[in-house]
Amino acid sequence: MFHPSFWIQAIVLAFSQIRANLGRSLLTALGIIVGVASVTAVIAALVGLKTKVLGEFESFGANRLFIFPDRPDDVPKNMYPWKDVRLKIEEVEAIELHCPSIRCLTPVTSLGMSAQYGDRLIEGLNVTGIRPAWHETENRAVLSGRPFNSIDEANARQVCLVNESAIEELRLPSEPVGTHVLLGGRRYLVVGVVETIQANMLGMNTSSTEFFVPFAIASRLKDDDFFFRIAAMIESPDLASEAKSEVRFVLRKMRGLGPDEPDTFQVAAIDQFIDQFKAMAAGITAIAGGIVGVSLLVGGIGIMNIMLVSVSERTREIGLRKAVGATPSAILLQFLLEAVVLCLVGGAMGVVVGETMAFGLTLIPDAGLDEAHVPLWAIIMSFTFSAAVGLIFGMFPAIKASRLDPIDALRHE
Amino acid sequence: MLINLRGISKIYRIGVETVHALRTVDLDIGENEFVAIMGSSGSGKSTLMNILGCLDRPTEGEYRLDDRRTDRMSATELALVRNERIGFVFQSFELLSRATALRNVELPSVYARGDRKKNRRSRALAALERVGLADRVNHRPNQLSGGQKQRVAIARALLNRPAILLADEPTGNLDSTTTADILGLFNRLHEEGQTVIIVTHEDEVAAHCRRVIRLHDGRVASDLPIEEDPAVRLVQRAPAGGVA
Repeated sequence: MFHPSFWIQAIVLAFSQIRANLGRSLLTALGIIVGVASVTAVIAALVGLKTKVLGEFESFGANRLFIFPDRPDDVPKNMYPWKDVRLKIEEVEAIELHCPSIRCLTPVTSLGMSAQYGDRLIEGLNVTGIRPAWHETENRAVLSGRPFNSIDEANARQVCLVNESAIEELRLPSEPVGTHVLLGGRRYLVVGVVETIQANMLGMNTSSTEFFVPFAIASRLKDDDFFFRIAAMIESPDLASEAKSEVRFVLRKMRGLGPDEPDTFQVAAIDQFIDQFKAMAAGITAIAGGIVGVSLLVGGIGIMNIMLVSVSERTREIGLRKAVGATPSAILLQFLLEAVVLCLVGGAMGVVVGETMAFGLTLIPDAGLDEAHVPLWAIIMSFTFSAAVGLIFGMFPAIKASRLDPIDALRHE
Repeated sequence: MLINLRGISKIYRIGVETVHALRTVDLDIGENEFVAIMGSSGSGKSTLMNILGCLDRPTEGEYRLDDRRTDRMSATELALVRNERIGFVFQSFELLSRATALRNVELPSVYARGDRKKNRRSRALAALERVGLADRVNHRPNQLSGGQKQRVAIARALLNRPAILLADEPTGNLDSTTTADILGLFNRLHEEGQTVIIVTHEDEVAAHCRRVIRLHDGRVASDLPIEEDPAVRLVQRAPAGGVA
């Protein structure tokens, strides 16, 4: 519609207008700056969190499946007592037998025990009961000694695995294989050492002291109706949904659940956690977006206000421009551009402040945000939103300017 | 005929009151005329100037500029006519305070189309030279005297080679020496072929023109060559040392 030179002139004019009223312009743009800075910082934090958490999920294993008892929601709790809901050994065997998508599985249960070596005693230690398949499902091989085998399980041998942290805690010899420790007052032969995993799952540090005993022993030490969960490994990650339905089918059949009854257990693959996390991140983004929306609205009103002031201050100039041939649309465009340029300058400053804040986030120790950075799309979005605020809130003052009568405008004092 | 007004009326409605600013004015102004439009305040001379300058449209009547009807044009069309055919000079100069003389003179080309966009700078420089300000090109208005400011404004009005140079009390804010300078400049432009219309209430200013149109109560009261206008003749006979 207009010659390129008109646009250049209008943009130059917009910048010179901002420079001429620098303090005023910056104060006005503050709303935009704050809005854009907060949105970029929040996005940077979320991106950092996402990278970190998804990376952890990834290392956790995409082909793992968890099966655990769960009371259905929305029904009276007493309809499903824990006693009935808990997993049973027969169910483990049924899943092993009838779920072809599952490569291997192990029941896992935890016991609170005391551990003693020499005169070193630790109370209330977490001892985990596992089957040999655990080495495969958790991808944890032994560093020295040997892993659990089927004979340990079948004969419920009094053997145990320790991790490096346990060696340190209980002051075991650095090569502990062959020594005996007392767990809950019974003698166990240490047969192997596993690595201490340093996993920081959603802020929970799991690099704890670990002892492992055969599941057969653990189940013998507990009551008949004790709880355990199942850790399984799927044949391949893309069989996650098949594996889930197979397990559901087997468990529902064994539990005699009618078609209208809900599951009394949960089968979870890692993708489910990823989905949950993504949903959570989306929720945070939406809330942050709302807050930012409000601050951009406030900023936009500030822009509108200052543009109205500008139109009123420059009424004579508008009159003159009209007298020398500026059409209403040329005046409209000029003021609109001025508002947009002001908002974009605010947006650019907001991005810079946001980037600085994102960098600051990475410096916070243990916040898990060392991956925080402002992605390109967030910068593009910031500028788009800033321009949109300029267009929307600059429109009314620009229309006002374009409709000024040149005679009245030139007479304006 | 360059300017052709037939039965031009302008009626303002202010609340319940109707004001007849112009009542069926007929007027012809030819090329290269040098006209003064005179009248006391409320006579309708400002309204006439606004209509001549295409800043306003008449309520009734026909206005032909270059044989084009302008009385029914849209705001956008009128803007274009102002840009290409009319050069305004105002009492208070109306320069952009932050722009240099050159930038001020270039302003009409920002809104021009076609050839009038081209060679903006060289044309602006030529216009400044024409008004004798070749050495003040990069000065800002606050670095210029009143007369120089008005010269910049005249250069701006001349940029797009307008059909009419329309000046509204161009010397109202100037002292007598500068007034003589500026009127001399108008005279020279007239001699170079420019049509000049000056709206004024001062007989001393009108005395420099060739034709005097007097308005009274929205009507043309008299329209005479300068030699025949009684009030102007009186001024011309005044002793030297006056405004002339």
